[in-house]
Amino acid sequence: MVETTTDAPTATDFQEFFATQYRSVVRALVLVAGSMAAAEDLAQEAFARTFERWDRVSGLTSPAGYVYRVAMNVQRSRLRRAAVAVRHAAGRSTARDEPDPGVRQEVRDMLASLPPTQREALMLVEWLGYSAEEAGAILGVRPSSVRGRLHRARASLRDRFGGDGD
Amino acid sequence: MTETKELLRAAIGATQPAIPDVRSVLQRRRARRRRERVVAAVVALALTAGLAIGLGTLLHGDGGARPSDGVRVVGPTRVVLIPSVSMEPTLHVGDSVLVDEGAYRASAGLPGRGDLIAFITPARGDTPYGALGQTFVKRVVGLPGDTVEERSGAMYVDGKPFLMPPATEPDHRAMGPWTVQPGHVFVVGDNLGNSNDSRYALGQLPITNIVGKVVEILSPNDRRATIEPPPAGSVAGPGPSGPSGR
Repeated sequence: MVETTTDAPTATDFQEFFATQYRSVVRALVLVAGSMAAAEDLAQEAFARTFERWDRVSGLTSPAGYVYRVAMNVQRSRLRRAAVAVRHAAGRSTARDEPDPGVRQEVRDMLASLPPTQREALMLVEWLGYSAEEAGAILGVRPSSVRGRLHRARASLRDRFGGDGD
Repeated sequence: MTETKELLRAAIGATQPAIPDVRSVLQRRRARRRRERVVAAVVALALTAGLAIGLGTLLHGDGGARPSDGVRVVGPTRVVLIPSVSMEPTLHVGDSVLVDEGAYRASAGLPGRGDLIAFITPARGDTPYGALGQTFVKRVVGLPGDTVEERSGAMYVDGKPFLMPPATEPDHRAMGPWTVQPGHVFVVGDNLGNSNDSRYALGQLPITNIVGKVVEILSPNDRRATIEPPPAGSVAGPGPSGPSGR
């Protein structure tokens, strides 16, 4: 499909989108996927699925928001499918990453212990800077729900790591 | 920079992932979809096949049960589970027997005297068999035109003793005689003292209700045995041992 001439302009368009967004999407998805390796896998699946709808998605205000929405849907269905395995792996990092001196594993473990919905809220609002309204639109929930999840997530982080939060 | 965001940065780390070639990413997705489609197709196929085999077993009885070497069947076959003690000592409750549905094709549906047959109980409004249409297994004693009677715990055909395995619960009544009607057979359970059969409510069995000939005990494994044909030259039934050697 990429190689055919009719959708070549679309493909170029998508290529640029992919090239500029890939890194930040992967890094953000670490927060919901739990590891860099899992985040890369998730991001690639999400980008590929986005490409399948690209003629529609490219017209959206935030194509990246669409990628995140797809990524989180994929993540949820994978979690459902692997519910037992995930339960067994709870509290542990599921995939081995390259050693990264910038990573505090105890923070990853802490995030892994949060409900997925709270991790999603943290990623979208706290890390990516979406408003509660935008995050609600991406997640398909009310902004007030996003705020609630965010509030609980921050409180849990504060309890665990101290600091006055915000 | 908030405290929370600092923590998130610490969870993500400093690694900047390498940007893969976009085509390989799309390729991967296509391969995964193909794989999922293949898996889905295989699962669907397996389910369909399983269902078909299951239904086939229910409807036609041939669940892949094969007769032992040396047991000749015309086929098709079906497996019947023995639900009652009426065929003791030859068959026990819980035995599975192999039934050859084609056994009487050559004789226009008429079984041999002494044969074990599986049949569907005829629908008779006034009997407990009623419309249940259960599959029973009994021994053929009388063929059309025969005179059958029971005297002091033994069956007689045309006045001659009918050889069959001694009942575990003997019956000492005198019953009959009955004249077997055209198109019917007279069947009894080997356990004469505890069997509902042609002597009782079941009545004479239309040969159209016959499913086939019981040729072998398939399970339990330690009871696996062929059903012996009636001894050659015998007017009536087989020797006292139904299944061979056990």
